[in-house]
Amino acid sequence: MGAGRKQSRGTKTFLCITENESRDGTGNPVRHTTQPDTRSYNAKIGIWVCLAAEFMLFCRLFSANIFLRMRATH
Amino acid sequence: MPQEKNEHGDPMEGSQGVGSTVTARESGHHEHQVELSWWRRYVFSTDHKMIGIQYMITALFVTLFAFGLMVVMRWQLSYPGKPVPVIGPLLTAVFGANMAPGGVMTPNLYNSFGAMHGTMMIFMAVVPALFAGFGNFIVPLQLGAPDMAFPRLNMASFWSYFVGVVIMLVSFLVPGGAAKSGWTSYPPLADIADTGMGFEPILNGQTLWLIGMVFNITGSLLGSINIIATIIQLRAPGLEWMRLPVFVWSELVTAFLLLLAFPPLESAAILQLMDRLFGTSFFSPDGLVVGGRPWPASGGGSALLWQHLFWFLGHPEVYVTILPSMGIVGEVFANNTRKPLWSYKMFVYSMLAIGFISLLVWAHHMYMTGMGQSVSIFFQVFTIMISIPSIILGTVLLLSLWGGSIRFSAPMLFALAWLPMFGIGGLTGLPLGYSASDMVLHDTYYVIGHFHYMMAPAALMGLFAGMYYWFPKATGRMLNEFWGKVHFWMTIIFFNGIFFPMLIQGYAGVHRRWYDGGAGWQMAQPVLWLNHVMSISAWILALGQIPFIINFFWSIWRGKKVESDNPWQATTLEWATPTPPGHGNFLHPVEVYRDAYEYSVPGASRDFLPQWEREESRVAEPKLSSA
Ligand code: HEM
Ligand SMILES: [Cu+2]
Repeated sequence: MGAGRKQSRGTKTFLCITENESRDGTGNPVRHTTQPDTRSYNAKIGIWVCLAAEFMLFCRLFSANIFLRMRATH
Repeated sequence: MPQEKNEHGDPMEGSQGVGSTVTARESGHHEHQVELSWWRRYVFSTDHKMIGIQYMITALFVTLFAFGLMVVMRWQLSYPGKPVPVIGPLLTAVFGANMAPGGVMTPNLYNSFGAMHGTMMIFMAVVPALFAGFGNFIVPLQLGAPDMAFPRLNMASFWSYFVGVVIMLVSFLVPGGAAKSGWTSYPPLADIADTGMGFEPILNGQTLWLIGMVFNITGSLLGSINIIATIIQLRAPGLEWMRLPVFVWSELVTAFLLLLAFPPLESAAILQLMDRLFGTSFFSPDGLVVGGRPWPASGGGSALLWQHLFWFLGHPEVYVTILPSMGIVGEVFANNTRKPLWSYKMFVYSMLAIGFISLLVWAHHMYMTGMGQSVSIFFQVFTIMISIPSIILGTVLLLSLWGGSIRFSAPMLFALAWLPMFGIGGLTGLPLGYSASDMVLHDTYYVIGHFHYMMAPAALMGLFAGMYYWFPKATGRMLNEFWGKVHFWMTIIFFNGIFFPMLIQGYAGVHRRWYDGGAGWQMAQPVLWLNHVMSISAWILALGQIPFIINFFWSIWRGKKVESDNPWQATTLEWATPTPPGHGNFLHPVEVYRDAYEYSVPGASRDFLPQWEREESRVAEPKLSSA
């Protein structure tokens, strides 16, 4: 067959990927082209965003601890 | 099809396609078409659409459950101390004779229902449905992306949320019942609740609440990382920032709020867990006396610390519930007025402003804690400031109606009703924003009325609007319009029947969380009859959801089939996919040529110009792309 793309209807799931995409090891479509206005790759953005969350998390944990230490009377 | 096919996918296979269209080949011997096993397709799916549907179904179930809790509580509020009809024996059977003797709700049972109603509605129903459900399903489609940026992370976030839900549900069945300290879990009450005689050390309501919340928050964090990375990275060529559909913008702002505000609550939950399990005293102050005896904790902690950590999340969280629904309403408005939003830019900037300011107003929930004047002024100023972008946003929507040829379809009815509900919710917030007037209104039913106008009529109207609007894309069939309208009128009338009297009762001073609905308070007597109005409205509202539930299931299999991939004649990219979209979404690489809402462009032959069409197409009706 070759030409054209098969697409699922109903319950059948076929992977449908376009020219500048491929699948990763578990069948997920991945796009190869990078975003022109960020010139970055997904994982890099993801890690930075994740770091922001971790920063908020641990800041609060440590500051709560310091707060407790400062106020504790015994 | 043998399922192991998907296991030997070669990552670079796709780029070997010859020419511009040839990539998919015969499924038998080539990995491009992979049929996944049932488990991988419906349960441990990494397809953003299936995950969106999983989120949505779980969240709708939780919504129904948490609504059910309130339907029972409304009986106690109207007829304090009388056995609950119909399900009274069930309550006794499930929660035991000391929680519901003879079908009567005890204060403990009432408190646990109340706390769990709030917790489940906010954290596990409205936000997962609107932010995660629609976010997962719609955002990648509107971006022209094949999937989320991190599909497996996406699956992890759903399952983390799901475990949280299960823990919350299980906590009803442990000795002593589910958490009873309100959705805010204020210590020191929450530190000491559900401990001692008759409670297990870990399997008790409050501890399970904390553990469930940690799972839920982790899921939300993973989800928001994914949404942000997807929106930044996976926009189709040509889809510049100012061409994004407003729903995508709303999801981006929401994701940032979750990302920055949820971690403090997660840390707070972990600290409270340590207080309860390991004897620390982050939140229990010196000299705490419980039941006449000194509480065995070293003290030195601060209950206010919890309030700060909680409301640092808590306030942004309320915008997390409303922002995605604003986005949905924007989409539905543009589509059904057949003209561009009155000012797309103002809409977007307002959402950005709301998102930013909402991180700076949390202590308006704490005016009564005795904060100093300058602190209080800071929070008053920012709280009142946030109403400016809110009003701009409402105005944009209102002006968008002007001169439009409005289609009163079911989604549009819900979206139209969203506007006045949001108006009432916002205006009732203003007196709460000034500390002088908040002193009298704090912790009354007025506050309950205020926030329910935002979270129930407004946020849920957005949910339903999105449901009726995008259902055809997900299933290939329309929801029934007539029953949609019945559902709409039942919902809007009885929502107001429940929540408007709350404002009146609150003015009369009726306190929130009173187990007898104010019956024991002399000053409340003139407004007590409103309890019946509210309760009956709540019960009829429950009946009013039956048309929706039947319509939903009936339409999945029997509904009217869509005749085109773009049944609403919309302009945004999700309608360029086949119906329903397969794994990978688009049949051709998409490119974007214009702004999001080019409706009724002068000189065009149709009243809409889709983002993905370079030239105006001469075909009158787009056909199904995948017959
Ligand atoms: C438009 C501007 C708004 C203003 C000025 C405002 C102001 C306030 C203030 C000052 C309080 C604290 C009242 C008290 O406890 O005494 C409050 C409570 C609350 N608001 Fe708003 N609000 C606004 C919008 C919203 C929105 C959009 C939502 C949700 C979608 C919301 C949800 C809530 C909730 C859930 C509470 C009560 C939490 C609790 O104590 O359990 N508010 N609001
Ligand atoms: Cu607030």
